[in-house]
Amino acid sequence: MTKVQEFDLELAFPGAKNVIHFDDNVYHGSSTVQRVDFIAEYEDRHIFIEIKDPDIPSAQNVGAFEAKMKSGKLVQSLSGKFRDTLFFRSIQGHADASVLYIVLISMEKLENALLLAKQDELRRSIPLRHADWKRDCAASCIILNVAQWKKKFGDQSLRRISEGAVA
Amino acid sequence: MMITGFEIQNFTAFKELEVALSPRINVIIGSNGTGKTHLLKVLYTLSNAGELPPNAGHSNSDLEVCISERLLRLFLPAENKISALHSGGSTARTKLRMKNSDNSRVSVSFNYNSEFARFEKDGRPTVSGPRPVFIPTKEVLSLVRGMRHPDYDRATVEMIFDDTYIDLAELLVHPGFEDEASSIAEDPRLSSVVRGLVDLVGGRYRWTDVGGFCFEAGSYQEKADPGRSKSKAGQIYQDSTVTHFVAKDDSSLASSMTAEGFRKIGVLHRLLCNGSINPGATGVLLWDEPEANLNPRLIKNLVQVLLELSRNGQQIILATHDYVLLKWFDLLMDKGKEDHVRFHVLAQDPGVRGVSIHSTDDYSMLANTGIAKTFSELYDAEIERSLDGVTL
Repeated sequence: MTKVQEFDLELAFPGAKNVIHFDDNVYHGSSTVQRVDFIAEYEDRHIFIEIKDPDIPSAQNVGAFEAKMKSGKLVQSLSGKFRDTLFFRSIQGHADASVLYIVLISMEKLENALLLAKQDELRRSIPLRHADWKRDCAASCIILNVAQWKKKFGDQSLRRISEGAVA
Repeated sequence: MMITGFEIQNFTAFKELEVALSPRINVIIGSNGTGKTHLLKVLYTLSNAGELPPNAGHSNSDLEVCISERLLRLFLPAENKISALHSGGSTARTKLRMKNSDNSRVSVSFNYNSEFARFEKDGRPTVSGPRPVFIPTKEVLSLVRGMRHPDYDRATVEMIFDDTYIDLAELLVHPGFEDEASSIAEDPRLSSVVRGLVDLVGGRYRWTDVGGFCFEAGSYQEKADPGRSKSKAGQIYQDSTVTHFVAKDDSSLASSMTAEGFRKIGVLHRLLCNGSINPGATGVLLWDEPEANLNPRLIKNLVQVLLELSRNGQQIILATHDYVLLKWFDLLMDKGKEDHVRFHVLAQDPGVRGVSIHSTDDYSMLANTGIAKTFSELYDAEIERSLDGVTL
């Protein structure tokens, strides 16, 4: 099983052929291309995964994350990472892959209504489709919180490392 | 004077409720049919119980006849009898009790076969208290013209509208400081609120003798006070500017030609301008679904206005269905300014065969309201659609 770690969170991708740690400074060198954290490759699709973990126990500045969210900069950054990654992957030879974009935001106090609003904003910001495009640039795009991630992919799929065993 | 709490027993959908109110802002939440409006109307009845029609007697029984008629005029039960408001299936008496911050009480009771409500011991209103204001869900500004017309048919109007509408129409036509030739001075505490409301809708509503309420586009602008002397200019406490309403053009629109949401803001503006809402002096403000017909973008400003009124000593009780309104209260309330918001959640309770109420000062404890559940359902459906068949 492929497991990856992003600071305090561990994610499991039991069915993936390959999971790439895409946000790797060594790999990208001096390029300032914006990039998502991970790309999980499956037979029929590639999943881009971006993780935002303001609930990390060692968090220094949750207020800054909230401010970023309110100002719209968070959505700008999330859509920028998606576009740059998609560009990089196309040139790399994956232009035909069906892409899914999942953003994990660990902020428990964020209500469903607000997540839903941010997600709609993100889809417009990317954008997922255009009248002059032959196909959508991603099959889908969704923002999940920890509870929704586990509900959808199972309790074993996500673990907070500082809490020890699977919560 | 504030209402500190109330108790209801065996009344319409309520078996037994006891609620402690915040002296600042109270928000009643509940899905349709849980009795939000009924609660507001009970409080309106009790807080207005000392108010007698001009020709009424002042004996105990005169007051009891008045409050009984009042209940009927507010609730308009199908059968025009007080006993129709008794909750079915019980032989126990209906009791409606309210307690004020000065420890005075108003309490009435009646039975399933009563003709009139009776005041309980110590529950008779001694003096007419500060006058409450009730703003019902439907907008009233554009209805005033018809309701006040000399040829109007009172019986028809009363059949269509309960007394919350008729009372509000009455309050709205009181002269305000914005009317021409008015001698009413503006309350300086409220000037930023009044200007804010005018900016919100891009103008103001004024009462005209012929056309009812008309809308005038424009805004307030500050000018140096022409009457100020030079020596006064140096005194910082002297307000050296005056603000005038400057109309955009000469045209004015009949209120019925303007957006319904704007008219709701207009109602609040009018009540502040004519002193019907005067924080600290007038009674509680009861507002049923302020969000109805209001553009969601205006709700933030409305919440700011309500918080500002409460900071000036206005007790407010709202009933709502609206997530946006609730969330803005959560985001905008400032404990440093001593803001206080208490949420009261009404829900059908199979345990007591009626509606129960749960009160909390903590917004984060509201997760189980129908409003929050609606968004959870939306979100779940969205995830289901977006990740259909996807596994990791």
